[in-house]
Amino acid sequence: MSLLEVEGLTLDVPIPGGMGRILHGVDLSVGAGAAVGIVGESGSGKSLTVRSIAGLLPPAATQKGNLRFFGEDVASMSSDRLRRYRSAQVAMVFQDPRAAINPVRKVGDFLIENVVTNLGWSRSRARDKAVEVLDEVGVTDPERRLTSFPAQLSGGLLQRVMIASTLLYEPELLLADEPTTALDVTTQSAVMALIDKLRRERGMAMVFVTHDLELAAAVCDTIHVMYAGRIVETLPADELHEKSRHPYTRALLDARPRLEARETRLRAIPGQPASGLEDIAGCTFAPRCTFVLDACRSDQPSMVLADGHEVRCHRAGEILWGSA
Amino acid sequence: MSIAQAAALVGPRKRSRLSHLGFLGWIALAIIILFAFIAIFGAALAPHDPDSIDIAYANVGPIPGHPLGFDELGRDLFSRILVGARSSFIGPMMLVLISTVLGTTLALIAAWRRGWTDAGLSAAFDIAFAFPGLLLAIVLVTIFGPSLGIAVIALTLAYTPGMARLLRSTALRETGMEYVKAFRVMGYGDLRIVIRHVLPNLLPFIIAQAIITFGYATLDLGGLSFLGLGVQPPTADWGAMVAAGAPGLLQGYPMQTLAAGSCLVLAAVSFGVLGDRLARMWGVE
Amino acid sequence: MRSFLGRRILLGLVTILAITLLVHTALYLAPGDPVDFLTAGKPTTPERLAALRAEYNLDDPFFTRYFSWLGGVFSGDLGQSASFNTDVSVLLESRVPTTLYLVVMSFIMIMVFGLTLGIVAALRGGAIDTATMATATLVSSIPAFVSSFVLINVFALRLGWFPAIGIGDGNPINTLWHLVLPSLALALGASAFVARTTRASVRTELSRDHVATATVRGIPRRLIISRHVLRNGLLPILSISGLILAGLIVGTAFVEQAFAIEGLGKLLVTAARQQDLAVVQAVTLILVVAFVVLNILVDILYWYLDPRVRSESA
Repeated sequence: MSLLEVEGLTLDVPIPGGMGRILHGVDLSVGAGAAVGIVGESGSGKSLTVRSIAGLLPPAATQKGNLRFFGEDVASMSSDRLRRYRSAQVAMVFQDPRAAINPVRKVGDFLIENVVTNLGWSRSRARDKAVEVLDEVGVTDPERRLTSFPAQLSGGLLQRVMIASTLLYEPELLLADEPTTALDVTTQSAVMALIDKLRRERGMAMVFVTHDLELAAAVCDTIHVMYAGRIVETLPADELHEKSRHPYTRALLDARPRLEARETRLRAIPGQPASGLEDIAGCTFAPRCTFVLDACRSDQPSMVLADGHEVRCHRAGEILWGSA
Repeated sequence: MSIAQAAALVGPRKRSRLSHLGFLGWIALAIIILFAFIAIFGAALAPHDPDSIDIAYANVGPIPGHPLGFDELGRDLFSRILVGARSSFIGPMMLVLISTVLGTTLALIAAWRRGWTDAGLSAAFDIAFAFPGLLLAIVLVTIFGPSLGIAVIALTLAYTPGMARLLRSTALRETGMEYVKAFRVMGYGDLRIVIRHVLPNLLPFIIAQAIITFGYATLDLGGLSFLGLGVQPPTADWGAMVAAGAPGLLQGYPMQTLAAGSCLVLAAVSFGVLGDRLARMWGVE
Repeated sequence: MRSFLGRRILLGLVTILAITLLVHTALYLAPGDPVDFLTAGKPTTPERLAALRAEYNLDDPFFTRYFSWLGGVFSGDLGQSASFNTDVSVLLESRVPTTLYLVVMSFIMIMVFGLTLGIVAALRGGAIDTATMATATLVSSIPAFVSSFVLINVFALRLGWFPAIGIGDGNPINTLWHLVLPSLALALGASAFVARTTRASVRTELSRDHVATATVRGIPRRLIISRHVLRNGLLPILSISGLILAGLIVGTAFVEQAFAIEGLGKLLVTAARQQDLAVVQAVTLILVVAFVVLNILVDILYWYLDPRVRSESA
């Protein structure tokens, strides 16, 4: 039984002129202790997917599909039960720590809020544990930080604080929505390494959302590539370079500049990334695909099996790719 | 990208530009046109002489031939309302015209010159903006005596920095655009670029703001006349009539005050609605 | 903190001086002989004219007159009112408390109505939201001098719940009862403004990530609202309080006139109409000082409540 099962997740949001479908039947599952990556460009719906899993729907949005935590259907949970899951078994790390942590309250209050309010810990016990976890994530002088305000900490430090907040209790699932995107490059790798280490040490499962394919491959076991509100390819991370089949995935891999080879031009994917709102018959990637056929423009491809994993492409089995 | 951005990329523009005016917008426009018409032709339209006093009829209610009754001096109220539209329209019009022209000029100067000129002007705008127009009017009236002209001058001084402040940000954006730099490089003169190219692009925003301001001007000038600092009796003016009808209202004859007050509010709301709808229609908000 | 406070107070003093100087200059530049203002056009003897000239230093250069006026202010002498024929300070004595009560009552009403409506509209959304905001927009288009009479007509004359004019016999409860309608008239416009601003602010706060964080952590909705949404969302309201108070101070002129209340506003208007320089100068001074002091207080409160401001100024 997996920790998390998402089946046919569909999201409709209000747009000018009615409702628009922004997520189209997303399927994924996360086993205990496993790390799953969701990779895509802006507009792919990756953030919305993980937010929907966390129950953070945009206003007036309607969600369809099944969401199961530890085998239990989320929709049929009472709000009390749901709250208990959220407080004890699931944790989320957001992209921008400055936006995600209340700026008018102290860092210490932020850290202990959950365990004191929901799990009934005493303030002193919570504070001691907070100092412990701050130390664990590499925050120096933790006692002083507890009484500081978020504005007094740097971005990288604040992100560590957010990560620390997930360690006060023992959640089984960590949802990370682009946790390092808002940081500078050097801090990025440090924080990422921290997340990876802590996750493995504690055996937490993780859903990791990012636009960086290589990063996802480095820390995750399975990768889902998303485009325009749909998953277009799902494969084990270590097979990414050799066995990926979807033209979009290959294009993403290709687009990354390499240190070894001398490039004259960056191999960007032509056109603009599409969102799930696009009302196109046929494959949403067709306008930008170099292997497009007439069939691609008229029929929406469904997931097929190719090379041992699922790909959403009419030509999945046909095109021969070299090693990226 | 956010949902809004994605929606903006795909969402078809189903409504025509003019439909943004909306039902309310058209009504507002109609009311304003009516208002302007009455302001110009009020004297001719009035069924009775607005200045003829007849104490016997003081504060008498509506009777045949006099749909609104009489004011405290027995003058036909309906006629006075019609004639009163003039000062309630002309005054704000002057006010808005002058403050818009001055405000635009100042904003453009600040936006064009940038640097110290902008900093200085902005500071001046902010300080002047904080000073209430009423206080300015009080001071001017104290010196020069009350009159519509003084009231208009006082409020113009009060409105101009506000307008300039408002227009400055849009002006800054416009003057920072590529086409302006292109023209400069091509050697076009400053004045020419601003007047023939920048200004026309700013015009929709300026006009929409001016119309919205007209609404406030109507109320502010009406208020000054109410206090006796603007239009002086016996000239018919809605603001002044609100005050004139007050003793009557306290004795149970509210017609003058409420009729004049309603006209002021109706006019002000119409301008506000029209200005807002125009801004939406032209995409400048 | 000290330097912040020091700077604000300094700025405030500069503002007060600048404005009084400006007003003084304006009056000095007035056409005609200043003596005429003092005599209010009434016929006087040459001796009286000479005495007035001496008393007001009218033959002295501009700055001397300004500083002697300023000096007079500190010793409590605000000059003589030409039109009322008494000391200005006597005129102010009874009127300052009246206007003060009016402004305070109004401010409380504005905050209570505006905040409640705004919060309810933002949290409930839907029909309640649209209805409240539409009402707010409508109400804010009615100026105080019109709404005063509507209120008098309905609540005083027809329903008889409140007195129509004046401030009563001096008994505090009686005074408050008399001030209900005037405060309400003053409060209506600003309440709508506060309601709209509050609604926008709370809605923005609701969509923020830190609220999402709290939701994901399973914090009960009730606590999220009180601890995170309201605490943060109501902060911007503090910054517009200064604006609101300024508007209230100005608005008293209209409401006091309509309700025949002897307060600072009515005094100012009457004095202006009669071109009574001394009174106008004195009342302007009081209003400007009040405005500056209130703004400084608001700034201090803001500094105390918003840690972000504190870390910036630290």
